[in-house]
Amino acid sequence: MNPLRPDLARCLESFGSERWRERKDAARDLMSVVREQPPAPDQLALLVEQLLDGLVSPDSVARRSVCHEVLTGIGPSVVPAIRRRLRAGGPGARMIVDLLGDVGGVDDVPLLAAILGAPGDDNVRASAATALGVLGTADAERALTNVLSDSSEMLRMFALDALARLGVAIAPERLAPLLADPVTRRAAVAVLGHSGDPRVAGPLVRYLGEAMPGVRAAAAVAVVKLHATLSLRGDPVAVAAALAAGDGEPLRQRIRELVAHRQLEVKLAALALAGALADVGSLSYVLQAMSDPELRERAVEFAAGLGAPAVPVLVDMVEQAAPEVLGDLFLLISGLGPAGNHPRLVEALTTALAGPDAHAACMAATALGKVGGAEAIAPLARALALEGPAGEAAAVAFAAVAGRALGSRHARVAPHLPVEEGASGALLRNLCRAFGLLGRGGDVGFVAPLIAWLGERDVGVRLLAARALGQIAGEHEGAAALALALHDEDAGVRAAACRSLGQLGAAESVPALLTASRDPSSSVRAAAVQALVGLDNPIALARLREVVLADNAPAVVIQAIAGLSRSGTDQDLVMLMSLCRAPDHEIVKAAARGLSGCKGHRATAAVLGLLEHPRWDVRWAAAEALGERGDTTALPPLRRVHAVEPDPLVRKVLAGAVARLEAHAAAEAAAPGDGEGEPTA
Amino acid sequence: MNGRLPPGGIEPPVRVRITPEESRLLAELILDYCGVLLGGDAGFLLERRLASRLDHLSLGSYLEYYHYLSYDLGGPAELLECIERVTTHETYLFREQFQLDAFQREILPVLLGRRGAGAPVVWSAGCSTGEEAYTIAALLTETARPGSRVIGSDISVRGVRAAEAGIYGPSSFRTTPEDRRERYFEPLPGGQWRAIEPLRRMCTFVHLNLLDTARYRELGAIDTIFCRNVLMYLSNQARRRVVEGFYDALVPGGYLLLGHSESLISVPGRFDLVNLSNDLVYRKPG
Repeated sequence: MNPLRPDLARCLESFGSERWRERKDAARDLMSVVREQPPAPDQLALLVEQLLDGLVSPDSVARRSVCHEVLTGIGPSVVPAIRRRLRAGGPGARMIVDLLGDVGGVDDVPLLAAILGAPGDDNVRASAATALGVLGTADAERALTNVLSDSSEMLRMFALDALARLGVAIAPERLAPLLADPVTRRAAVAVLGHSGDPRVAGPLVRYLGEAMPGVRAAAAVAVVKLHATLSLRGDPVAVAAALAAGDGEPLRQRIRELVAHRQLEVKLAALALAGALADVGSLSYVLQAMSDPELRERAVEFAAGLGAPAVPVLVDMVEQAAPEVLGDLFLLISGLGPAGNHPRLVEALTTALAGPDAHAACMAATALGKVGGAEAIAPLARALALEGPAGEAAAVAFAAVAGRALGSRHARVAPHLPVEEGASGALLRNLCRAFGLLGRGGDVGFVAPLIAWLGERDVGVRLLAARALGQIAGEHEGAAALALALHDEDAGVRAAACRSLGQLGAAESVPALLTASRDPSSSVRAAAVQALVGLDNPIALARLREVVLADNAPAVVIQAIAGLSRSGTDQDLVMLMSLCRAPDHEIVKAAARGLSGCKGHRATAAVLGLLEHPRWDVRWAAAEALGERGDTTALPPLRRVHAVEPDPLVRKVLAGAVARLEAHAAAEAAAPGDGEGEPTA
Repeated sequence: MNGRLPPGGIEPPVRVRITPEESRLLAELILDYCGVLLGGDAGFLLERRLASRLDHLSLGSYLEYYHYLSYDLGGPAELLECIERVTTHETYLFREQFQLDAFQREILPVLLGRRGAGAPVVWSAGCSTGEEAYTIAALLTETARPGSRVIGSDISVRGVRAAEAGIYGPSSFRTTPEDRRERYFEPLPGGQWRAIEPLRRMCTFVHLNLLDTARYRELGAIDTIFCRNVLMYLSNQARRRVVEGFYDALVPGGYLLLGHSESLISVPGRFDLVNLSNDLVYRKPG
């Protein structure tokens, strides 16, 4: 056998260095050499063998770690060598199994299951359990379940962790001894959450009060998971009943503490449980936890669930709040909706709206929009002149409060507004925002000022006016003004006008939109084509075909494809099928979705071909389209693809498509004589 | 014509629900652009943070928003807006005092004591609205020699603009000793404070995507990098790339300071770990 290439060998020599930095440098250098000057197959094989030797070398932990890093970096091509080593036996089996877990695939499940099931070194078997928990498959689940009664408690714990990771449902009776053992309790509680058995709700709630913090955290997540599963099965009360039975200050306090847990999953679960108990005492804990942005919006939902009983607590919190938490506190208050209309809360919000802290002002405006009554109209109207997010929030809030307190009528709202004439800048932009929202009520009184603002010099004002006109329901002269705005010098304004015309459903605007579909800006063309498709006017069909054939902007073509799928002509079917081979994946997806409504096995065949597409989202779209088409001839290939699909989310969509088609096939079988094999559309 | 007349008053715009597919497409776009890895709750977060953008652009779904970001001429600008909304901007002055003490008492003396050492240059990477940069500038004023500079960079254009203005409200001073606020900030009407002119002169702010490591060299040689509570939001791959970029940007012997909950454990790197009296920091060998 040839010796290892000198540049590769040089890197390997430094793997045993006592200096951490030298080892890291060598690993990096080796990876760059492998990437930039790929070794010949025999050289790669030799390199992998030497790295595997290093991985199992008993003399140097450091060398083992670097070898693992590099082997993982090389990726799946090292798997055959790993399998050979494991079959042959020898030293360092645990390291090799760990590596297989990192780079292996579902084909390695039988080998790992065999290692897990065979008597031997418990550490090696535990590594196999972890690897099986990553790789999944039914065989992995079976192998892991089989070792739950193994004599090694370490192995039992690793197997439980792997099963929890896979979300496997295990019968509670099987878990009982594992729950009794303090070593395996945490992991067993996590698995219990996947059982889907209403009988475990009570025990799980009791584990929320367990002395060991890890068990409490696992129990919180498990209770929430169980509730989600049971709710989907039509039993939303089992967990609520168990919580009510265990309710009391000790349980509530345990849950409050978990709101501050370091893991997001636990925090979210604790929040859900505090919500289920309607625990207003947890509000101060939630406020502190809102410094985590991922929790912030959930906290608002939590407050919304509490409703009026939260008001006295929040009033106290407002009195004592430090300036830095005011924004978050106002956000919490916003969750209460009209139930939060308490004089002290409104006063605090109004003060902050006019205060120097822009963030607090923005949050205060948002909250006033949700809780405020007539008393909030004047401060919000003044805040319309604010620049930036605070002014924008004030516009939305003003529209909401004025709509509730005055009704969405321009004549009633206008006296409360700052003077419209001579207004400019932020005030005018925010008035456009507010008028658009208020105009959803259908009062054409808002149209005239917006039309006037279409002529403003400030592009931002023109754009927002065009957008707002599309929001005002009903037949009004805004449509004609928007058609004129299609000639605006700014592309953003023209695009907004197109979208608004589409929203208004103004049939008389078709000629103007056809012209706009030739605009130099692709954004305007896309908006025009989308509006034309929405109007569903047959006059536009020829233009849509032209767009598909000639427009070079994918966003425009995608919009046109949606229109073609409705025509039902063979010409458009052929065009959609050919678009399944387009270089742009979004066009391919649009074509697949377009074909979901077209008749004929040809369309099915075209979409089936996309199940092999390298992009997950194209395979996803194809699976959805096939499920929707209802052509049962797609079942066998769909089942085949489902078995090997690497992406878990796409696999779910494929499973859904298979289920839909199976239901369809069953219905066809139940109605003999009707089944001509023609797919439904 | 469509006629939509709700029975009562109006409420803020109806929220468009995000599908799992749309959520993943947008999360991948964000990951590709700036390395920010959104967690399992991405859909919820994106829906809440981007709902107003759909409304603003009159788009009917998050897939249309994704198309807008991918294909429209306005897509690149909108992507910045999207990132602004999805990323976190929470910060304040004199945050994590123990680390600032370590910088002032243990790192700065080493930097200043080197042979031929000039005035130090410090980079606040992911500076948000500039609070950290002005904090460092204040510490340099107290300890270092004239000519010291602070470069603040952030992916948020809005953040950089706010940093340049250097105007802060009460919440930014939540942990600032009063004497330091009085010394380095001047009061403005309405309860706000602005960084004093000498401090602002020391600080330069740039809009920078940390994944754009090729642009690091525009900043010049850096003595110390503060990158606190930024790496934790990045994917492993992005983190690795950024840390490699930091290594190249630092002078030999330069320091990298991370947030207290962050470490380079999962990032293969070439830094030495230095155990200071109250903090662990990373140092480029040399």
